[in-house]
Amino acid sequence: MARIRRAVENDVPMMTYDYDDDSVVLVIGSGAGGGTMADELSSHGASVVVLEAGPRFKESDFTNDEWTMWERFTWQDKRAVTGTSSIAKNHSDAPTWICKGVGGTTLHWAGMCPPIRPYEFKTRTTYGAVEGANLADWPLNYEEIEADYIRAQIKMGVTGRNGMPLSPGSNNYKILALAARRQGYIDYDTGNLAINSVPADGRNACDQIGFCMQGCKSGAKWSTFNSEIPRAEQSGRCEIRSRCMAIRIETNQEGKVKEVVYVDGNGDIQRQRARIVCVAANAIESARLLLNSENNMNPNGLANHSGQVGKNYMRHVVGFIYGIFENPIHMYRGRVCDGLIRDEAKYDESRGFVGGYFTGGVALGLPFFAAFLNPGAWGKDFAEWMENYDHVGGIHFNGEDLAVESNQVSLHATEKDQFNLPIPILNLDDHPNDLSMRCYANQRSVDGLQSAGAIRILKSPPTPASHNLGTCRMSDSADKGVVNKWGQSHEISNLFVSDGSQFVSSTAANPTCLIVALAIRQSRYITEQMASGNL
Amino acid sequence: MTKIDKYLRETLIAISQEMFPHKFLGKDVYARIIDRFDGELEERQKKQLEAGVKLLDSKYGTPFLKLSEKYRIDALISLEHSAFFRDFHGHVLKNLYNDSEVWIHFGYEGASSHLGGYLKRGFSDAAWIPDE
Repeated sequence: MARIRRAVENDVPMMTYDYDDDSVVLVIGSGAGGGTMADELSSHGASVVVLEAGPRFKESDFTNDEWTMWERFTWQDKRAVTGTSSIAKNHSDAPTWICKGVGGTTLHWAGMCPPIRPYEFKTRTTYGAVEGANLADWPLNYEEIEADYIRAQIKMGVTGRNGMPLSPGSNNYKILALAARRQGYIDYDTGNLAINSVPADGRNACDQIGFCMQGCKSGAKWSTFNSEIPRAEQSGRCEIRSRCMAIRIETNQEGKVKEVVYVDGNGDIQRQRARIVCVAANAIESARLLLNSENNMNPNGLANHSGQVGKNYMRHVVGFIYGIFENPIHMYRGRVCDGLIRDEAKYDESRGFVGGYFTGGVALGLPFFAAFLNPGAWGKDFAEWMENYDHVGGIHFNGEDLAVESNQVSLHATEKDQFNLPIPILNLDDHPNDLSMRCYANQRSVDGLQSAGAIRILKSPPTPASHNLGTCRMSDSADKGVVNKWGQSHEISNLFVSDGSQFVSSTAANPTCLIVALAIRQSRYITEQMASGNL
Repeated sequence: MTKIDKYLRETLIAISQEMFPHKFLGKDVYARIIDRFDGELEERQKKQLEAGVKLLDSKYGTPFLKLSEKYRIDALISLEHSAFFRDFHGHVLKNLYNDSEVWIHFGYEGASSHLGGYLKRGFSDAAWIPDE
């Protein structure tokens, strides 16, 4: 089959903007949020500069090797962790798993785009007050975002939606489907993933390579790396500056954003003037950048009149359950997250918790399976699991994580990074709702694998989080949130947050599709505001 | 860079075989992990390994290498929360299951994009899983 190739190598004449050009929209971060902003804004005619802390990879840099790619594009700068969650205990040196490179965390994501539900924008109204949680309704409802959400699905090529067919199911999927049937679930199939099931958008269909999280070598998996970023550059209006770490946002005397200070690939400090700044550095770095940009007018950090910057840090309630079966499965053959059961993604307090969760297949290669199956385990029992590797089927669940104000990103009092800036501390406590949901979902998963014929089952502890949300939440009120319904700072009209930091609730779904939808919406708003002279 | 002596090497190999006992893997598989480790060892790490082995040897007043399997395991259990054990365990685990020469013994095929992925190479060949 002829291989369609997208111009992901940098063969487009680069647009280069002067440092003093204050007509540019400066986007910090090139992932689902930043990459989409770059593409949408430049397509609307804006001049765009993107600062990306990490390097620019080529598809040839991706290799089907789990540890090599972990080293190559994981964000490894130090994060301190505190709190009661198991992440603080088991993964204190690496509490998150996100990427550093052009494309951001879309480089390694597995493509999951389960549907969002309308009630998830109204969690405070729907769930009521939940003790210990800082629930709030989003300042926009599902109807307002639906059209952009569908646009995002189409842009990303989400299977099972808008005419992109569902993918065929792997052996691992067949186990999930069998478990679903035997448990009486009805809403399941091979899943809604941003991985081409047919050639589309200049990218190949999936070859079931099985190394989705190591950079997709066929280009079937959507990422801003292979889609939005090349498109933005081809517009002739967007400049990507890789290896450029933003360290501070400066304001002018009127309190508006004026320029961004960053360290370039040579280690030199640069300043780029900007008309508008969009922060899309993932929930930890976005909050950290705002906090580190404190000045006389903003002593608690930029855009932090509400005091909510860094707070309400949400992930998802997750679990991984593996079963040994009597016959081979070879779970590594095919997409890492094959299959989706949607029945439990609903509001139903009779289960003992608020919020819902999705169940999907999951597969790991031998090296990662050994590392994550049961951290610290050894001896005959562990060896038996490893010797049954090709008879193992895996499932995982992903559910809503309630906002808790004290779950937060803050600045370390003493420890500094290589740029002499305070490193972030993540405080993560489990809320009782998280524990109830995890317990229920684990049990359902165990029951499912058992009913499908598993002879041994093991529940793996949660892994470092790839979904990081909520640290600059939206609100209609400047006292209660960092940004408004457009992701615009309440106090600084030309400062935007464009990534998952904006989320008011985590929803049960993997966040990427909603991040892209919000960026499509925000770009349109910014374009209109620029045209009318408001920005 | 500091080299480890024969005694330490033999003991570390034996420990790694108890940690991850796969009878079908030859001693050479474990040995090459230790030998590669040896080439990268810092003084502090070497001291940690020596101290750990000394503790293991003293558990029953008999060198670890001379203990029977049951006693080897008991000795290791007594140290399994130590930094020595955790560090060594993590290192061996990562290297053992990342050794592409052993993969096929575990039924793992490794890289696939150069072969066109698994779409036509068994990605849904498990006919034993019922469709209904």
